[in-house]
Amino acid sequence: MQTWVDNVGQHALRSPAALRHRFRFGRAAFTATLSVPRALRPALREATAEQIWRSGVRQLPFIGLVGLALGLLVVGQAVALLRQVSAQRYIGTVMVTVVLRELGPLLTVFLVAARAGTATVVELGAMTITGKAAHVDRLGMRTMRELVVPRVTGLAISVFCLTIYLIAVALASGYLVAFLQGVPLRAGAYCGQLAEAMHWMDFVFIAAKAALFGVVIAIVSCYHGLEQLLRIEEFPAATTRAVVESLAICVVLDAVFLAGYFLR
Amino acid sequence: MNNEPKPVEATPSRTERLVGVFIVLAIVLLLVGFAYFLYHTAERKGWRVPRCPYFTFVQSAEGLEVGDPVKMMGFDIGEISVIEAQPPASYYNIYVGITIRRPYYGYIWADSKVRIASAGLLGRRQLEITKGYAGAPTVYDKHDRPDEILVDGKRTPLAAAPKGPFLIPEEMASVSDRADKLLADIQAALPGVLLLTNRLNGVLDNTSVLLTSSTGLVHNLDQTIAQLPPVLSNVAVITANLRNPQGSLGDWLVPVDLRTNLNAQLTLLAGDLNNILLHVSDITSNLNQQVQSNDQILSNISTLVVDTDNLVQGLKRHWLLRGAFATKPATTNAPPKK
Repeated sequence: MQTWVDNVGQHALRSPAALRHRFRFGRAAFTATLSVPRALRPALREATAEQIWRSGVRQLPFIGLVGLALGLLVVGQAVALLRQVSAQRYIGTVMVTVVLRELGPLLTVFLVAARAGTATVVELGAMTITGKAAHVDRLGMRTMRELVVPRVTGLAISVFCLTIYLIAVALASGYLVAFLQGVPLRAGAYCGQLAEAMHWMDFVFIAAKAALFGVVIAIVSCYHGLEQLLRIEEFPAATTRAVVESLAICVVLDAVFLAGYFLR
Repeated sequence: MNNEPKPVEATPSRTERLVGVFIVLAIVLLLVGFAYFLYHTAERKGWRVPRCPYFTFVQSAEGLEVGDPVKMMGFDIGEISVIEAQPPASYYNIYVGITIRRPYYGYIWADSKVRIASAGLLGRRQLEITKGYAGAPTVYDKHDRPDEILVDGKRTPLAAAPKGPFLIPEEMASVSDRADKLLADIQAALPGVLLLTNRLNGVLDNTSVLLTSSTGLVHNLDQTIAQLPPVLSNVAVITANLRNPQGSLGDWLVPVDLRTNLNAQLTLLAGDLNNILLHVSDITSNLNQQVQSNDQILSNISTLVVDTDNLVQGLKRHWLLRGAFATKPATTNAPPKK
């Protein structure tokens, strides 16, 4: 009978190999993305557009709703707290620190991983089971370009765009909430506060972070989708693993970017 | 040889167009945000605004950093550009270079000073330049750029004095120094405070005794107050009796027999008074009749006087007595009648 101690040992021994495996797959996907032959580009562009449509444009209403709620909650709470110390003029700073730098990109990743990441795992898994796609170990460069590259590119672009939309909506709704709560703050002054609290690195980091998060979600989802799945029952576990791994890697990357803020 | 047909440019589908709009709009939003950030930062830091250098000296660079804002009248008017240690023999320890933006250097005159004061509780300090009122401006523009500066009261080209005009420093101690001084003052004041606390302790002891006495007093007062209700009820009864004229007090003040005698005497007195009043009434009616009789006598006398006058007048005209009543003619200056 296997005890939990045996389980821990088993995972400890398997983890490095599993990590190496994923890293090799990610490197192959990245190489394939960067070296697409000219003849394949139109087809790839079409597949990428399809991917952006599914994982980006169609998520827009939900992202808008989340952005609205985010601005409402953050500013609602911040105004209530800042009023007690007569520091309403720091609303812009709070929005930049909380929404623009941290919550905006992370929330977008959560939503995209939960919706587009799971869909990718299921789609590729079904293709593997039905024999339309090869198993991850026998994946040729062509199949990699046809299946993985559009998803990597599409998700990178989608997450980048959705992050910007979410931040824009959250900032706008934040001002709306402040206005409705009677905070004496003009729109120009609010924009000035935002600009004053920002750093040029914020723009670079947001773009880089969002695109990188998209790439991570795509590679992890594709990896788990193209893993050898023998039965339909294994799909839920595979999708859960894909989402958890994606989020874990994104959070770690976010911490690395955070260190970048402190080192500036 | 490549015999493959050249791919025909396909017309973009609706999906592709929407995806294109989705991407372009996001990029435009990001670029607009970045452009606004650049514009605001340029406005805030005055990137395109002419600047003029100034310098001053301080004794300590603690809490000062290159890039820190310089204030005047609550505005950020420039920043610290240089902080350098002076040679060991110098009177001042630290050289501080400042750049001030246009138009704020126009407010800095020869009597302006730079105040180095604490900024916050974390040991930070900031430079604040005071507006000038007397003397002359320190900077003279030419073509909207600083051209000449005031050095030792003389106008000098800026190129000849690249450090700019000197600003007199007014350095206040840092928060930590002031805290140290405050601590020393507190230590010096501690014996006095101890003495005071000892006295206060004595006073508190006395107060304790006083409080004990007060407690006893209050206890006694409580007992007295507890005995008060019967007294109060008696007082209430007495006041009720006082309000009743036939109460016990009324009887005590005016006895019943005395009151009866008094009533009889008063009745008799009233009867006598009545009789007297009747007599007085009779006397007045008699007097009235007498007065009316007098009135008739007076009218008879008046008739007698008139008749007597008529008699005398008749006697005057009688021939026998006319001579006895002859009258002399009046003497006058008029001429005699002819």
